[in-house]
Amino acid sequence: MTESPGPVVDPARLSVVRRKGRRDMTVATVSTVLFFLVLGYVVASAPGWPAVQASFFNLDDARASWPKIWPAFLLNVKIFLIAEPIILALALTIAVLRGLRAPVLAPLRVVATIYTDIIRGIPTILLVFLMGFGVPALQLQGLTNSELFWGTVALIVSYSAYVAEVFRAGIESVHPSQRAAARSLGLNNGQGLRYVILPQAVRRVVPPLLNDFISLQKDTALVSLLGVVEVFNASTIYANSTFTYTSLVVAALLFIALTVPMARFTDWVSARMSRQQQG
Amino acid sequence: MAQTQADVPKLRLTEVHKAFGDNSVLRGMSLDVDEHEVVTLIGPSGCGKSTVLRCINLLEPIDSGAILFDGDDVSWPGYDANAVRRRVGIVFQSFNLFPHMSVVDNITLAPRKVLGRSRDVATEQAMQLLTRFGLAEKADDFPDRLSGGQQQRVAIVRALAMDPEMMLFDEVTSALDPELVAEVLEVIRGLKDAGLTMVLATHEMTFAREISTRVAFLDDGVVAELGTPEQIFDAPQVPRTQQFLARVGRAGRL
Repeated sequence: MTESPGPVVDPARLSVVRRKGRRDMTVATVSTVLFFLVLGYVVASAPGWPAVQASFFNLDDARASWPKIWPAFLLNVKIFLIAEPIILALALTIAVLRGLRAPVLAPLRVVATIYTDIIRGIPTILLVFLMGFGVPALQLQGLTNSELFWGTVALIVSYSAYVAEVFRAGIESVHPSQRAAARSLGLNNGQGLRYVILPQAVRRVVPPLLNDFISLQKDTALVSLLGVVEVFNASTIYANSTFTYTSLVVAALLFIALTVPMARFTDWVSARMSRQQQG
Repeated sequence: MAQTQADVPKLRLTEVHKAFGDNSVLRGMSLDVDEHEVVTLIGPSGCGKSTVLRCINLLEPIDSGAILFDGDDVSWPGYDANAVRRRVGIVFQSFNLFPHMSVVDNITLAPRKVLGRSRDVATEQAMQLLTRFGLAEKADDFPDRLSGGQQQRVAIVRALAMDPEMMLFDEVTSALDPELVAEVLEVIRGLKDAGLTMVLATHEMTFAREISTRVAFLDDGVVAELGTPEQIFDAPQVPRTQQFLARVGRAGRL
């Protein structure tokens, strides 16, 4: 066998392709810049813009409110960091329970199904209210009355139901032939689930899971309804005392600073996984 | 014990029936396979070749009849299916490798988790098998990096790693490009030389003639004709067998 020659490329073709690429790039850049210039002009030339700028985008207010808002925002981050691992564990358990076929576990299967059906039917905001005010009202011995605690529990309960369905979709997306292959090697149902089905299922649902993470990061603000001074309450307290809204914009920017990297991370993970599928 | 070891075939199917809904696929199939025998199942699409293999591995429960393995009826509801699957390996048409595991992990998973072998022992055995089939340098690759023929050979190694007493092959070359078929058939030849008991469903008639101790022509859910390769391919007695082989011959597959 002779050594195979390198790839053959026609230089004339290549230069046409490159020229088209440069032209596309220029058009994209110019149109993007133009779009934002026009948008900026429309907003800035609006009759109410000076008033809006004064109350929403005031640097002095932003600075003054920061010492109140930043620690409150850390509480939101803390709620998220505590809730998320519990949600993942609980949701995976629910999803696995729903897929069990052993007759002795039928009651667990029924409970898991009812749980996801009912909880997903209740708006998260209502669940926060109901649990935050309802459970302490029971006056049960040994249970905390902390609004922060029960607000976080409500988020965990609500999101577990959604995330469980994400996991279940992942489990069902694994082809039945994989289960057959696992069974044919003598692995029992549990082993097949653990070593063959779940690893593939979880990988597939990482992007939608991260999407739910982003959603949860924002929904930590719902705990404010119970009177907990997290970032939303902290910024409205400042806003109400100064009759400006800049503190709310600061809170929004903090959320963006948290969720945008998460969104980029989601894309990066998806891209990396599709590369891995090809080796 | 009334019967001596020699009287009991390795595998015996007696009057096996299996239907999917209203569709009867197996309609009283009977077949004996002795130890060290290679029995090939041939026949038209839908004749029950794949189904009977899946039933033998207990991946599908049967509706009536019996499947006896060393004289034990393993098909009775409640029989420990995993115990049977530890002794009978199966290789599928579409490989069914685990895509999230490297080749060596695919092979060592069941020996470690089912047979309780240590990772070192299982890996050493896997490497021996991979070397034997010319796949040693692929051990750390993921299945998607392999050609179809390599994937199918890995699937065979994965089944062999359980030290099965019998192997079932379900049209293992049907999903392969023609030039990759030979490498898989070569592996099966090697297993025959090693004395492994095998049941194959195949469309490769030339290969069936070469490798089989006996050939079973399946039609309409029963064994329509059974004999040595010479009997079946050179002098078929049953009209349906004659028609089938004539059609296959016209398609240039004989």
